[in-house]
Amino acid sequence: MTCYVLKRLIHALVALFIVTSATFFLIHKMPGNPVEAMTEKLPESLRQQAFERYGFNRPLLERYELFWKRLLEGDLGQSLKYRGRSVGDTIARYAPISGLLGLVALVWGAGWGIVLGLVAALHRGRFLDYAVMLLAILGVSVPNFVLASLLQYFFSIRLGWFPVTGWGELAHIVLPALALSFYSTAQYARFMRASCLDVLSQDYILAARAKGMSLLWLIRRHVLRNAILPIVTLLGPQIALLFGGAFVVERLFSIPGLGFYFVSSVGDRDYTMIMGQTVFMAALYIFSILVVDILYGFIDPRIRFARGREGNL
Amino acid sequence: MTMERALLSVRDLNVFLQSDDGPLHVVRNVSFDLSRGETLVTVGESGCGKSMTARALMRLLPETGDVPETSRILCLGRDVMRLSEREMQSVRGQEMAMIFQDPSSSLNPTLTVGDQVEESLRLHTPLPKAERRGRALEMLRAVGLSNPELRMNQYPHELSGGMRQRVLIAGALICTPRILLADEPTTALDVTTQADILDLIRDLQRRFDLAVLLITHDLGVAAEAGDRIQVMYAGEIVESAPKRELFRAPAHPYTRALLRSVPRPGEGARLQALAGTPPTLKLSQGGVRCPFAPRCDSGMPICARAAPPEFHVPSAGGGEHRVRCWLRHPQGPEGVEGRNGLS
Repeated sequence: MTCYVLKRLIHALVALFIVTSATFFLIHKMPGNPVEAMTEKLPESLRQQAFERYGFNRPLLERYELFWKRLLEGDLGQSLKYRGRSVGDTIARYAPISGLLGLVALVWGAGWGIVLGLVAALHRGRFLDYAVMLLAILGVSVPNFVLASLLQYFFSIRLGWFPVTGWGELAHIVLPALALSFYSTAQYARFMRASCLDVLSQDYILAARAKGMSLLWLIRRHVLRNAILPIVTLLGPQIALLFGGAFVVERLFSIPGLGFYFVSSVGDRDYTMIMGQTVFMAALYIFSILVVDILYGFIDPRIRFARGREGNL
Repeated sequence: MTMERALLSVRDLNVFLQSDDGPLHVVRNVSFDLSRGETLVTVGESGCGKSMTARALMRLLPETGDVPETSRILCLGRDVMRLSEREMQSVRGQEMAMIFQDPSSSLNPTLTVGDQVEESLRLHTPLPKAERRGRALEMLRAVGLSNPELRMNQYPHELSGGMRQRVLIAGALICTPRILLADEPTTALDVTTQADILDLIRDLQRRFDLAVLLITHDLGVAAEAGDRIQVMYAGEIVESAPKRELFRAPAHPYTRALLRSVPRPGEGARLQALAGTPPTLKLSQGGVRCPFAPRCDSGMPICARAAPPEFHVPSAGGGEHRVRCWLRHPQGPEGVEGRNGLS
């Protein structure tokens, strides 16, 4: 088991390195740079001075080296656009807001998805099954900003149940979380349905019924547990997806989350900000997948067993 | 046959299934009785309806399965067909238990052996956990599982196939049912383990006073375990007789063909395979002719025109011998009147 975790950890670090490097070189390939924009109206000598100050006159590889040196020291640098604002602080301040929204959306999405998937599987080929699957198709294909606008229109403007925009109160989180979670709900419903159908066709379900088990018991004891196992792995990608996928929704609801800064920093060519956030997002994504995979091993006795043997070798 | 003596009485059982190619008539007018302490073996090729018969008895057919109201299943005097699903749940596991072909997939991979063995007690009795564990342990000992204390906390994948089947049997019998339906319980096991499991079933049968309906495609297993044997072909029981009688004087050409296809060491005779494949069980093909006619080596013109009714065969050792074959018609070549003819 230790061996397995170590192996996965090394894979994760390599993946993180590749993502970060690729982003670094790609953003520097983008035309224009922030200093150029800031110093547009200054005389040439002053511009050169500014370039030097930010290190833009040095070769790219040297800057790349510097970036890693600073990163390893834990310094993500200062924002180029908003002077005096450190990237690390920005993330620390706004990530929890995005995180909270993402978490609520995830719990909501996974919860409803699992329930709907189970209902669909139990009503296979009948009305409820088709209804759930239709909802799932809508969930995957309707972009969350469209849904967000619809929710705002109906629940805030027409019905007045929730505030249209803003952040800080419990009521503020409902609509954006709903808009964000719709995709997860759809994903989970589809996977849960497939997973449940698979479990329901297993021999041990028939064997349990032959013992006189009622449907409710059967679901609780044999179906849910075995059906949820494979879809636990969905959780990893979903965590990061919600974290980062909230850009537009955050903007629509004027939520001061990380997404807002990420999008604007790309437009501003705010290199340090982009890099800082990329490192953060990539690390979050890669490690949530890692953590979920390792947890999965603990939940499923078969994997626990196989890995235990592997680890002893 | 006296209905009162039988624990399980089946009359005119029919099972229809929906398939992609239309409705199938997979079990056709099956009638039999299962008495206390006896082992009745149903033998047949795969797809002949033997498993569906067992599942119909437990009312555990696939969703598309249908049993018409004319079918009657009496279990301990109760009409199973008329029970509500809830009542049926108390029959399953308590009065009738079932074990399956593949012990590996019939155990839930995420629950421990102990959890699965005591499951029936949890469903049918108010016993506290400690008591249930104790009984489960006792049961694991009874099925001859080595080191039962350790096994209780192991998961199915940590056991061998034979051990898994023992666990499955322990789980099925823990509520001391009267009837055990064993659907190919040894098929997925290797030959030595097969013999062990058959011995175990026989041993438990005596200890728990069980009536066993054993389903198999293997005549060897039937010969080993059965008191009576019924041969199934294309959804029908074509012949049923006490074991000795069946092996001594098989009356149906299909039974004879089956017996010829079993290797017998030392006899040197060539093994004869039965040519052809069983008919599909499509609804339309029932009733118009003998289903075995196309493969039969002693077919007569009538076989293609009408399905044979059941005839009684005079048996030497006592016990009922019945066969669905025109050969046994009173005026047929092997019938009572023409017995001096071919046979």
